[in-house]
Amino acid sequence: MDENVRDLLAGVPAPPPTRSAADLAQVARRRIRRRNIERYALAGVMVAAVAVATPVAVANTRGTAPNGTPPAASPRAAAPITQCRLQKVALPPGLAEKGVQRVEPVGVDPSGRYVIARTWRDYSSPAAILWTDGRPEIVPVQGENVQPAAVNAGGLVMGIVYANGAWRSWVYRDGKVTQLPPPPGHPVDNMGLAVNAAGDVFGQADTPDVGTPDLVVWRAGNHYRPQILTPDEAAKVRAEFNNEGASAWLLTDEAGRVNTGKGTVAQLQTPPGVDWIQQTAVSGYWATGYGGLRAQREAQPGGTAARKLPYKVIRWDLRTGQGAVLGDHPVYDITGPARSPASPTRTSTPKATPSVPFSSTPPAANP
Amino acid sequence: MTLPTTAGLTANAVAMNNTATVVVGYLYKGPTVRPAIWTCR
Repeated sequence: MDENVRDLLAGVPAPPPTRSAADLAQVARRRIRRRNIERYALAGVMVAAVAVATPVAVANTRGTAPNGTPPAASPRAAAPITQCRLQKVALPPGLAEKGVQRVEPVGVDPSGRYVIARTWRDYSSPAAILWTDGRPEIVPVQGENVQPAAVNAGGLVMGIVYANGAWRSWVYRDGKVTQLPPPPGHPVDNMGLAVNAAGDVFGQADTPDVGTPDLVVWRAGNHYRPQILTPDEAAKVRAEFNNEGASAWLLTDEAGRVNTGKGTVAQLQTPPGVDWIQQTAVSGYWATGYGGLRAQREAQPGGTAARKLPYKVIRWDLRTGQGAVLGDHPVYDITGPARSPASPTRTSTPKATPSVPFSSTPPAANP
Repeated sequence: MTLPTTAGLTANAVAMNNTATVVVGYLYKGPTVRPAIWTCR
């Protein structure tokens, strides 16, 4: 998501998504043995929580900060959105005959030209659809459970598939599917999470013991040769590409730090009203996420059912580290009581990524 | 602003592009889920 999206959504009260977090994670749970999947599902819910309303309300706040003032990081002035029109969406031929009842878009590229969707008949045979300027096509990935994850402005689609007994990541562009090779020492599952403008893919890969997955980058310019991030570079919570650069990415960890991928680490601040924070998305100068109070979290009963906690939706300015609470929002919590986001996993800055003052090396300016 | 929907269906948006001129999501009722694309200006 671009920072403009967050600008638009600043202060928008978003009702809970109609799909529960458990629903979002159900398919993944069936075959993916990752212990971390709940976090990503939760992150997805949070992104949806920020971006989604039912019916969807889009505030005319683009270009304004939560306090109503223009954010310094969004120099682009744009006319407010005042009207939205529902388009007629064509489906690929034969889809209905295959018994597909659900066609569910999951993403759009930054330009709006490319839209991706997954289909659902049951949980064993979904496919991926790409619309290019409204023209639909089935992404011809071989295997089961084909699911798109992201698309960039060049029309490169990235997703996952269950093939030959393992989850694999793939990219698709101009009619050609390329399966991303598993990193050495990670023969089990891997899952692409994000794609940037250059077509680099950011994801995670499991080791044979299916422990905590490692983060991996497949660079398009290097024939998608996988690069495992070192432990000091990697964080287990959330990883996304920064849209503004071909090679930059951002990692967040449970201690509220953001690794810019450019050799710096930024420490995000805990805003008033919460005592733990977690980031779920990053783009440009901005990070978004949520936070809450430990006491409220610890007061929740245990059990496996999805639980609601009164989270605060937060946006951070990566240049200053300051976080602003955008509003209250209940969200499903499926991370489990033992994995409080408030518990930092590290207390020191990694040696490989020295911490720097925000003002000295801010991220590159947006175009 | 509320995104328009088709009578009888509930809308759920999931993503939008950088300029918020394209919003994607779905319309649903029961087990049927249809893709939805809104263009905004």
